[in-house]
Amino acid sequence: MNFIRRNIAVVTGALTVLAAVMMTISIYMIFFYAPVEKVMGLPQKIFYFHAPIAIMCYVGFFITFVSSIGYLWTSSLHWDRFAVSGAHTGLLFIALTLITGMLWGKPIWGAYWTWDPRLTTSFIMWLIYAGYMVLRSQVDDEYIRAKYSAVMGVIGFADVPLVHYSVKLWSRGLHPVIERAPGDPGMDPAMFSTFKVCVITIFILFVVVFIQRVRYEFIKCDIEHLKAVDGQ
Amino acid sequence: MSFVIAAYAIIWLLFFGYVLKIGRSISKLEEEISKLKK
Repeated sequence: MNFIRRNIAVVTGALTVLAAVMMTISIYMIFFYAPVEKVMGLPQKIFYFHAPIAIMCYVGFFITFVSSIGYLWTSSLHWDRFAVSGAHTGLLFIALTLITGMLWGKPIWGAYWTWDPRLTTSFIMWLIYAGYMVLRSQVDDEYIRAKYSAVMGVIGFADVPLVHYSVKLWSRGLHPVIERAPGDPGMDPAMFSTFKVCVITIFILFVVVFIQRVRYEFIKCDIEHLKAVDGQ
Repeated sequence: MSFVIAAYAIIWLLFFGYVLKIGRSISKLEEEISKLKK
């Protein structure tokens, strides 16, 4: 454990540099390698980051869900630190999903926001995890805080499959339902290669943000415990 | 085109701004922890 703690700063630094390099490669591929989509034109290029960011926000909330179950099962505060880190990371990613979605929606749909099922359920998801953060800030006792937020972390995750399947469940929305044969990426090979590179880039960024958040939570708890020992 | 540039600028700024901000917070906490341990 101490070995990991000692070297984690170096690993995170290296991953941040890698993320910056991958980001540059991705942006080059998006603008100079992938062809312009025929129907939507240039605004479609937002898709290359919008979709992977949306996928990674699910991963963040899934970490919160699993860690919340872990806390309720074991009452170990380590689980709570992973849960809050997942929620923080997921919240950043869902905020970016909503922002990039709005910037894509304006030129294509003619409006930044519509109450489309996917948008509405995504907004509810943002509200749930923003509420999770508010709840945490209102409780001083760390065990009670961990218990309440673990319950919310488990219940709140119910919205994630709703967001994902909203386009199929409510067909009245503006988000298209993509039907394709198994193994068919449903897009031009150059577009698909660009998309894969963007998924890797966003995954690395997710790992960087998540690790940094976990480090922050663990150090903060160490300080609180040291202060408590000093005060006794 | 302006929407695409705005989207990528926001993504870039938010991600790396967040990483930088949390990195600074961690450094401050590490300083505090080393003071407390002394």
